[in-house]
Formats: sequence, structure tokens, C-alpha cells
Amino acid sequence: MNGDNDITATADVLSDSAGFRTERRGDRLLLHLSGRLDARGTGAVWNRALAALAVGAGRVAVDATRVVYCDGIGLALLQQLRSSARERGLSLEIEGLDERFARLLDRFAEMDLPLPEPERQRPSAVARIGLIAAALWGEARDYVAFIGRVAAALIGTMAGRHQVRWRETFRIAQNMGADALPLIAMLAFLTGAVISLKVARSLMEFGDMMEMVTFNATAMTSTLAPLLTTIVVVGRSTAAFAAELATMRVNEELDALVVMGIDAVPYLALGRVLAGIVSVPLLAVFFELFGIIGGLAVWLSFGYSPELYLQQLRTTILLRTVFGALAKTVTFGAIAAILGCFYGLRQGASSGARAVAEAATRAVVAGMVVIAITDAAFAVLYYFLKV
Amino acid sequence: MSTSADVAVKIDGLTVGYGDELVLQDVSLEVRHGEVFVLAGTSGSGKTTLLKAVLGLLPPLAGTVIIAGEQLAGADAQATRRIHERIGVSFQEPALLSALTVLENVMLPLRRYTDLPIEAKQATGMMNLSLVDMSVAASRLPAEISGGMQRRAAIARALVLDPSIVFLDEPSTGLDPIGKAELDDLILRLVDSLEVTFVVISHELSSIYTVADRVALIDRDRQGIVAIGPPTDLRDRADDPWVRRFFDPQGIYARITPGAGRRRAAWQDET
Repeated sequence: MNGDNDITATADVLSDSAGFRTERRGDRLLLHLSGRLDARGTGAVWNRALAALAVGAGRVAVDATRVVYCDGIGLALLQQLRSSARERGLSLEIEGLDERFARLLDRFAEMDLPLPEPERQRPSAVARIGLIAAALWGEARDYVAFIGRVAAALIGTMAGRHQVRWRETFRIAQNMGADALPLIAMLAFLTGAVISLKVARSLMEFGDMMEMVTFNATAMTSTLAPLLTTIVVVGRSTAAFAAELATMRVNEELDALVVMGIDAVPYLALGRVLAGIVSVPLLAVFFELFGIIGGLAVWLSFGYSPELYLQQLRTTILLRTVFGALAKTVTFGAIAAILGCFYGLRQGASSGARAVAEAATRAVVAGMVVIAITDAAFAVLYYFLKV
Repeated sequence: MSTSADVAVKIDGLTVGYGDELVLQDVSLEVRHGEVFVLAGTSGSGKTTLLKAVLGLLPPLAGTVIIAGEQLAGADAQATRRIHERIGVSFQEPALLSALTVLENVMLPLRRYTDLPIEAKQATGMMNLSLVDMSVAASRLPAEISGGMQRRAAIARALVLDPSIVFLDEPSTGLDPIGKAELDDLILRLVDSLEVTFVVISHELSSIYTVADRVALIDRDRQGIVAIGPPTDLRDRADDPWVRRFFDPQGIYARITPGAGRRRAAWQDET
């Protein structure tokens, strides 16, 4: 030691809060740490201590004699000082650290704390569009393959290879159909009433008030009842299927089924698809009924007779329109159920709580998209079939 | 002999259950500062239920729990925060948040309770991960790592604030033998250096003999603690043959001396 006489003797009060000061002793830089290096105090000295290293050259020592307590955060600081010194090519010694804490620090003696990897670079916009398109295409192919598996399960069931779990199917059908009835009734009644009221406004000025009945009944039976019913079912049941099955996947229940030799598609999906095929058309019939009642309510409020309404209905509603709509809803019901099962059972990139949310979201979005496209396809088909 | 200052957790006349079904009746025990206290018992005997009641997650039907001098049940927001800041918990399920990386999970308590600079939080998080040999997986999502790794990350998260009382619910489940031994070693080091109190639920006998100062044995049928004391004492001197059998069912632990005795002795010197 050649510079003993320029020691700046500061009387540090042994306080409990973390303290830090630097001292130059010859060519040695001394970093004095003191007090409690814990979650509360270390933050105050962290940046200063690391910044002090920047002016150091040659030999640096940390004087920890006055450290009265040093927990994980304090040890992290010491370790950070050590690795930061090494990066700068300084030699750093830690002196006077209480043996209890030194033993903990030993655990990290030769260990460099690796910093977390930087986030992966995001692909460019063009590349992203390509990736999304490729993913969509893969998803569509998987979906078609899944429809095939459901169909195979259905055929296998009819051939007696699997059993339909009827009790479970009834439970699901009840949840999908009967439990949705109050919502469907309210939605249908209000939709019917609103349409009738809107039409009545223009009919009052020129035209035949009987058209009010025709318009509402036609809109209900041909388009609104199938479409709105299915959207309600997609929101309630498709989402529920996807969430339930995805949770089973996350909890390894699906893996348990596999190793027991039970195929998930007939065991879990088939009942849901059957329930969808039955309950969506039934709900759609109720939607039509309540929509027409909604129109009737407006009609009555204008002071017309109910007999006239029924008479007009009878001439307006064609049986083939009603059955055409029902055929549609059978398809919609199958689609809603299959999509829920598809996204629930699909092995996703993530697992845990997020996978469940992702499955439900994707199922609902895909449900809306596929239903809208299918509805348009039916409209074109029925146009040529003159239904 | 223990004054209230020595007591980390005090349970008094605690009765807990779900609905009409009682799980534990009239349980009383004290966990002293700086000891490793193990809750052992058969499956379904109510170890986790007791832990949940202690942590205030399950309201007790009767009795009181005092942690770090404060009662958690019915405490106001400030007192609750004070207690939560001083305890660390790792549950039976790792319970890492799936949307955050492993490191972010570990940094979560630091974000909530400290105003350290971000580098300090990262360094502390990384250090705690390396304590459990998990620093390589810092930027992974929980879903991308194995169950044993998730558990180790959860333990790192429980320790990151350097709590004075740490609760671990079956921490060694899913760990390999080396991982288990390292966890035991970590517990002993933390107890020695930082005077942390550990309340550990475990039925790994080798681990119990290594780390435990005292064990409380819970029995399902008797709905409470049937024996309490150092594990070697219970093995050798318990009145109840079932208790003696629990601590050495295969007759292979008979010769284990109070290995943790060096710690127990040190602790007794202090008091």
C-alpha cells in the first residue's frame, strides 16, 4: 500500500439503510457498501455502485465490512459488480463480507449471470402476410380433415364400432338448445318488432300495410332466424366447447384418453355435433315463432285485427322456405359444434390459461366467418333451386 | 419458553373445512423463527387445506392464524400487503402465469414491492433462477418447459423478495434426485444465512430428515395433528406406533442420526 495517508476517514454511522461511497486508495478503487442490502435499500445504491465501476482502472475492491444484512438482491448487486468488472477487464475483490452471506455468494462464484436473450426479431410485414396465409391454409386443411374424422366417427357409430354417449349428448343438447331459449326468444321478439316498426314507417306513406306482415315473416324465415340463431349458438356453445376441450387438453385429460385407447373424436366430439344438429334447427323454429309474435305485437299496436295477421301469414309463408331454412340450420348446427371441437382439440402453440382463451377466440371467429360464407352459399343455391 | 417474538406462525384452535365437511379440527401449533417446519401426513389429510387457511385463502370456521405478528384473516389492505411482502409461497401446482416468461414471472414480486431499477430486477430475478439452476430457461414461456422446471421457477419466485417466511407445498414433486438434494441444500443455506423460516409440506422422508427441525404429522381420520417434534424423535420415541411407522415404513431410516441436528443445536444455542 503506497497511499495509506490519503485515506479519507469518514465516520460511517452504522445505520440500517443501505449506504455507498467510493474511495481511492493509491491505484486501488474502494467501493464501500454498508447497511442492509435488501429489497428496500439496495435500489438506492444499485446504479451508483455500478456507475462507480466505470471510472475504475486496474484494481477495484468492494469493502463489505459494514454490510449488516445481505439478501438475494444484495447478492445480485455483488454478483453484478463482479461480472461488470470482468467485462471491463478489472480485477475485483469482495472483502469483509460476513461469512454467512459469503457462503450464499459462493453459490454464484463461477457463475456468470446470463442476461435474458433479446426478443426474437419480428418478421417483415410481407413475410407476416405470407405466414398468416400459410397458417390459414394449414388450418383450413386441418379443419376439412377434422370434418372427415367426425364423419368417420358417425359412420363408425352406425356400424356399431363406437357408442354414442346419449346421456352426455342430451345434457349438451339441453345446454345448447333449451338453456338458450330465453335469449333466443328475447332477441327474436325484439328483432321482429323492430323490423315491423321500421317497415311500417315507409308503408304508412305509400303502400299496403299488409306488406308489413310479409316483409317480417319472409326476413325471419329465410334469413334472420337461421343466421342469428347460429350466431347466438356460436357465441354460447362453440366458445364453451372450445374452452372445455382445450382445458382438458391442457390438463392432459386428452393424453389420458389416448393412452387408454379412447379416440377423442367419437368420445368427445360426436355427441356435441349431434347435439348441434338437433338443437340449432329447433332454436331457429322458436326464433321464427317469436319473431313473428314480435311483428304481431307491432301490428296489434296499430289497431289491426289478429285474424288479418294470421291470414296474411298463411299466404306469405311458404313451406319450402321454412324447410329450406331448416336444412340450412342443420348444417349451421354441425358447423358450430365441429368448429368448437376442432379448436378445442387442436394442439396449439401455447398451453395453459392462454391456450384456452386462444381456442375459444379462434373457434368463435372461425364460426362467424364459416357461417357467413355458408349462408351466402346457401342463398345462391336456393336462388337457383327457386326455394 | 418461546416468546411471541420468536414465533413466525401461530395457529390457535383452527378448524377448517369445505362446506359441511370438516377437514381439520382445533389445530394449534407454533412455528418458530428460523426453523424449518415440515407438515407431513397421508394424502388427503388436509396439509394443503391447512396451508390455505394459514395464507388466508380459505376462511377458517374457527380459530386464528397469526403470521409475522399479524392476523391475515380479515386484515385490511395495508396489513395484507405488509404480510404478503414478507412471505413467499410456492403452491402445489407451479402456478406460473402463462402469459409471462419465466424471468418475468420471477420478477413479478419485485415489480409489486420494490422500486429497484429494471436492471436490478432482472439481475435479481436471474440470480434467483440460477439458485434453482433455471437461468437457462429465463426467456422461455412456462408452457415450453417441463413440470419440474416450472416448479423450480415457482420456488425462485417464492424466494425472490427474500421473505422472512417461505411456504412450500410439496416443492420436490417432479424434481430429479439431484434437484431434490439441491433444493434441500438451498433451504438449509437460506435458513443458516438469512434466518428464513420455512414451512414445508412434504412427505419425502429423506428430505424431512435432512431439512426439518420439527415435523407436524397430520392424520386424516383424527382430523388434526397427531405428533409434533424433531423427525428422529418421532421415529424413535412416539407413543403412537403409526407415527413411528410413518417415519420409517421400510425400516431404512432407522440409523439416520439427527442429521439436521447441527442446525437444531445451533438454533437451540441461540435461544
